[in-house]
Amino acid sequence: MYSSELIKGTLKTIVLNLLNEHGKMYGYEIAQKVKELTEGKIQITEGALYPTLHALEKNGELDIDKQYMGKRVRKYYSLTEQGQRTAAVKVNELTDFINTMKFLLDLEPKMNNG
Amino acid sequence: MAKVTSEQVDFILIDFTKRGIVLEDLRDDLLDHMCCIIENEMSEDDSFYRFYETVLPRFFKEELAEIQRETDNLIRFKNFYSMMKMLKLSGILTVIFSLAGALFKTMHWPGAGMLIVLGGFFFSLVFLPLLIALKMKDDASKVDKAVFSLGFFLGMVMVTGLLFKLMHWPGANILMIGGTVSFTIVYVPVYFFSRYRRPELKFNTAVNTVLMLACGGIFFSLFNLSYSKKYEDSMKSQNLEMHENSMLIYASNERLLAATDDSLAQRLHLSTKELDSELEAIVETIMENPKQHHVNDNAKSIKEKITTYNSVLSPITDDKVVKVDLAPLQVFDQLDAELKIRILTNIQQQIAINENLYLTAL
Repeated sequence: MYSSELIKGTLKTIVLNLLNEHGKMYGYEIAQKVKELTEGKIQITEGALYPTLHALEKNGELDIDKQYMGKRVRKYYSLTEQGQRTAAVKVNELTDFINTMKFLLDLEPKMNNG
Repeated sequence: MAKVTSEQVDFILIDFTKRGIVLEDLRDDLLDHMCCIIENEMSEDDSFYRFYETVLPRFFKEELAEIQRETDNLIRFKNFYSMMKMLKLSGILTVIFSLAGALFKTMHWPGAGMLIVLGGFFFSLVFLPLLIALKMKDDASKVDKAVFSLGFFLGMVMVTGLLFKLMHWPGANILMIGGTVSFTIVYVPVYFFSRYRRPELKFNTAVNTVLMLACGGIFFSLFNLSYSKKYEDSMKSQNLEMHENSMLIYASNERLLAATDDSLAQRLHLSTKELDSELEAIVETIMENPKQHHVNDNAKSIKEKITTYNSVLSPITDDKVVKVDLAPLQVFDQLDAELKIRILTNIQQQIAINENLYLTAL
């Protein structure tokens, strides 16, 4: 499992991208999905996930669909139009960042290295 | 798979509330999450309460209220983003409006005032306050926050003063000079002494201090230029001289008038005298209270007198006799006392000469 510092900066992107691909999801589902897709390497903690979801919602990136199950309320989160645009921007930004990190940490063979 | 009962839901809700989750939406989220965990991960023979106690620590590092605090912080950050957007927008608008305003003003195109006011408005009342608010959210030290905020505030005062000056609004000098003096004498030393001890900031601090002192000094001397005592005195003595000359011409006119019985000459004399006494009255009002900007009522009555006077002049064909131009009176309110008196003295002299030209040509 990666350190929480590494995950913190990318959480928003992970959530947005996941919702972009899977439509509407609820909190537990998101956490489980990430764990499953990454074979447990990335585990989103509750303490990080929900504040992020609320902030994204407040920002107009997410829509909420509430389903009442007795006293429980299950909130399904889905992307708004703005959210879809943000997801695309964030994913591009992160991809670019990863490439830069690869270069910076010298993980990719460079043309003039040999 | 275990099923969470209604009592257990109540228990979890009460526990979450007790542990500091006050936002209902957030509580609902966490409740559903907890229930999912219990339903999916708890084995049939486990006890609910024991499982709950072991799962709960997964939610936090030290206490559950962390999630509430983090949510609050992030939600407050929402404003942060819109503030950043606003800051960018107001910055761009400031640049566009002030540059366009400067261009329009230089070219004497209409709308310059409006553009400059908008530029100044966006800069001093939107851009700088936002900058202060954003600086306050920064994690820099409290001293830094206070020092920067003071600087931005004084900047606001100076720019507002400049705006007032350009628009001829009252109070401009107090704002400009007050802002500049406190900026140079109070802010710059505070800035310098709060930062120069820190090695990583030393060089920048020194450079910025010199720049700010230079700017403050230049601003201050520029403001003082508009207060030339010499200029004021020379205007005064010239005005007085013109006034005395006019009086001499009037006296000569009186003598010339006594020697003629021309009816137009009588009418012209009457109109001239009326206009002249009105002019004298306004000059007196201005001299009594030179800072008073609104002599509007007087300006209006004088405009009527001038129109009557000009109509009396109409039958005179001598092209040296010139009608009084109303244009300088349109901007009367925006001028300072000396210029106002100069305009009035000019008119006084002109009507004296007109009468004299007519009388001598008879």
